[in-house]
Amino acid sequence: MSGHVPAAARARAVLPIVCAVALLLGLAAFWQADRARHTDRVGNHALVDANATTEVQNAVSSALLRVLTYDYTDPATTQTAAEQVLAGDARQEYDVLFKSLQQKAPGQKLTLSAQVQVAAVKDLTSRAATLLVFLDQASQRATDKQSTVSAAQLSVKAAKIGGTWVITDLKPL
Amino acid sequence: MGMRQDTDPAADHQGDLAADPDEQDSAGASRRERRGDDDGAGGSADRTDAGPPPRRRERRLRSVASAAASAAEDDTESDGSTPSAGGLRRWADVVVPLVAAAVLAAGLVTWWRAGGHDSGAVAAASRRDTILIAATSEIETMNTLDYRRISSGLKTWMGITTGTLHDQIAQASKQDRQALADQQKISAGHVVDAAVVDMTADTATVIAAVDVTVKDGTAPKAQPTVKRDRFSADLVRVGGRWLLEKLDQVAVSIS
Repeated sequence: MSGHVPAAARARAVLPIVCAVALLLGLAAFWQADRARHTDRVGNHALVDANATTEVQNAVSSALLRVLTYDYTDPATTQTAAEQVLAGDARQEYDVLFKSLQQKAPGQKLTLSAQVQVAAVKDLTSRAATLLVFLDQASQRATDKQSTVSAAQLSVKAAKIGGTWVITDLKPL
Repeated sequence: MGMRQDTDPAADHQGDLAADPDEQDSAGASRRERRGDDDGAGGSADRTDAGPPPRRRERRLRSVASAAASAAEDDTESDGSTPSAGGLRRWADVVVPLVAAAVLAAGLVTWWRAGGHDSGAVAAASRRDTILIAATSEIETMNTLDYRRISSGLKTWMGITTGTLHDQIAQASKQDRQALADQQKISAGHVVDAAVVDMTADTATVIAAVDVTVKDGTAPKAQPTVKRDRFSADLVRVGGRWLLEKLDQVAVSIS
């Protein structure tokens, strides 16, 4: 009897500590679960997130069409598009290209058109994406009725700025 | 009056005598009680006390006894605890560990489940990367051929293809092989950039920009020509491997 009572007393003294430790561990586990849930173990969401992949594919395709479509009678449309869908290096490079185009286009009565064959997303996060785009380009000169068609492969970098995808880099391969 | 006065004291005395045993009894009881108190508690508080009425003492004794009884039942309880507080403590002794255990179990389960919350996405990302690596290597191989080793080249192609593409290579006639050998070309494909367009659990479409370097076997010192091709490849998973089922150039289609 005298051996049992102290053991029981010790158990009763330890119980609150055990309970407190269990509670703390339980709460810590919930906290870890929350952290785990917010940890992105995927990294590259290309194709994994189908909706986001389609969204950036469509945004980049339409952006390329707008900036690569040019009519010497209406250059403002192309310029407005460039302001809206291009940023960073892509914008600066395009400005140089656009300036030379502006100089020769009216004389040649030049029109440019483009068609995206396929745009595949290589890399995708919530803020940035890299795509490989197969693009067809056609140019027509009204002066000599000459038209040329070319195939292009572009490595495109895009960034989500203010909720919309803009092209930040445009590199012909 | 005088007689009465005489008898009166006697009566009084008798009354006294009659009352005496009670008084003596109660006084004796009181003394015993006091002694018992002194012996039991060893306290001196009662000694100066004139002695509380027996009923009150009785009640005190009973409450002390019940406190002792409940103390014997639950030795963590303090002397001042009432039986209802003891019940609450016992209830808490059961409920608090249960709650703590439940919180711990729920937390661990939630943690375990949160760890696997994106396992499907992780598997899909891994599949996409595997497809891209396989497709890149296979598209390069399909653009690589040495006229001096046509047979081994075609064998390699057959090893990375399936379906109609595999059949076409397998059905290459002697004349076809001879024609390839006669061209005397050494070609080597290099994928500049590639990306997966679409995929399911066991089919995928990949596009690739490929540099094909062609050396002329008849003029080994001449500069090789490099041409850029756009390819679209369909892959199928066969026995855990991603094999080419279709490989086409992406032609210009703008008018």
